[in-house]
Amino acid sequence: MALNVNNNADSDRIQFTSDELEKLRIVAEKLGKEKLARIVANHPPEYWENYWNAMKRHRLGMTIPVESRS
Amino acid sequence: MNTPWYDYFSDGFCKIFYFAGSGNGRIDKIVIFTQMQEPDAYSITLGNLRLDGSIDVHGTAGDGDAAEILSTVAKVIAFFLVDHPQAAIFIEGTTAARVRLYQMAIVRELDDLGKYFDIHGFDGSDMEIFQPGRNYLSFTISLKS
Repeated sequence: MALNVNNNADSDRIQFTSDELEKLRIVAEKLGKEKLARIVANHPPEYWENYWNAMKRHRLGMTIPVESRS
Repeated sequence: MNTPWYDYFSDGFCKIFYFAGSGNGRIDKIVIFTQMQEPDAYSITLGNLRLDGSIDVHGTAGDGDAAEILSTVAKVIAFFLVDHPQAAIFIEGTTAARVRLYQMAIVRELDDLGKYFDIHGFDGSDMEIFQPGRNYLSFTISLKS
C-alpha cells in the first residue's frame, strides 16, 4: 500500500481513502498488540501484579500520597 | 500548553490517530491505543508511518520536532480520554531513553495537563502522583477524578 497522503490544499484537511484507512487500521491494531505483548513480557509477573493492584487502589481513590514515600 | 502541536485526526473508533510531523503535510505519525487485560486500561504506541504502509515503532520520536510531536500526542491523549472518560492510559517507553523522553514531555506539559488529568508514576512496586525529578518505569494518565 503506497501512502503519500497530503493535506488538502483548499481545506487544509488531512485525507485518506477509506481503503487506506481500513488497511492502516488492521496493521496498527496488530502492531499495538505486538508492542503491548513485548512490554508485558519485558517485566516479571510481580511488576504487573503490583501495577494492577496499584491501579485498583487508584480507581478507589487510594493512591499512596507522595509524602509517605519519601 | 505552549508547545505547538500538529493537527490530527482519528479513525472512526477513536482508537487510532494520525498526524503529519515536521509540518510537511504528509501523514507520517500514528498513535495507537490498545486495550490491556483490564477493562478501561489502554497502552499507547507512537509509530512512524512508512510510505509502504508499514509502521516503525523503533525510530526516533521526531526529526528536530520531538517537542511538537509529543505535544501532539498529549493532545491526542486528551481527546481519547474525553471520548473514553473511564479509561487509564499506560505509557512505557521501549527503552530507558524513551522513558526519560516521555518523562520530560510530561513535565513540560504538566502545567496544562495536570489541571484536567491525573498523572501517576509507577516504579515497579507502587504508584504515586507524578513528581517531576523522580524516576519512574511507566506512567498512567486518566481524567481527574
